[in-house]
Amino acid sequence: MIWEIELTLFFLLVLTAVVALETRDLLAAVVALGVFSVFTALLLAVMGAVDVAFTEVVLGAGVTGVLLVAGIARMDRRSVD
Amino acid sequence: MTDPHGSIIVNFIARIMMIPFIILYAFYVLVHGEAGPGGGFQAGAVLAAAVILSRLALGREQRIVSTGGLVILAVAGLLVYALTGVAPMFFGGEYLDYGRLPIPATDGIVFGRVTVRSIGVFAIELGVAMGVMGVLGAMFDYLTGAEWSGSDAG
Repeated sequence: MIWEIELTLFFLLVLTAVVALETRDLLAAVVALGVFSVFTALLLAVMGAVDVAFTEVVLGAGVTGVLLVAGIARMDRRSVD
Repeated sequence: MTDPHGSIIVNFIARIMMIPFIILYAFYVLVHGEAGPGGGFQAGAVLAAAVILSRLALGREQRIVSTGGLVILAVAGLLVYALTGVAPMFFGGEYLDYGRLPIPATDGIVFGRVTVRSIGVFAIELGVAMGVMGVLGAMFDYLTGAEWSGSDAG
């Protein structure tokens, strides 16, 4: 529990979340979401929840990203709003 | 998306190096879940990663499990979980009361350090891993437009 590391991770977490929300390219948003998942996993590992961090990095950064890319492959890459 | 990549390097790295290691690591996570981080769900997710990698890198012809196989695996996992849970209820226990599983044992110990309870826990973990692997792989197949029935099943 080093608060500097936690603060940095929280800052990067918010940054990647904003990037994922604001970008117009859906593929870039998926990549930002994967990075968000990695930072979440690091934060959980720092907090001592290694089990949850493991699940987060496998599902959040791995499988979910592939599933979202597979979904994007079936539609336009650009957001329409 | 599930067409073979065609690159011999991608094919070799995925087939010879990554997929066997990922599957081995998944089984380590599954078996070691009691003593360290891991367990049925994580092992299933890692196995699903191996299944999806085989589809992305090797294509539909050389993948390791078919879509129908994944659906069967998911249903079988649920069945393993449910049967392991219900079985003790017929032998005087409650739902998921692993200690009362009908396995021959003296004082709850089958052999060595293997107890009836640990066999029950492992069966549950195995069921969860099969279910998670099957569902995540089938989700990927559904998103990439695989057939759900016909020649693909089995």
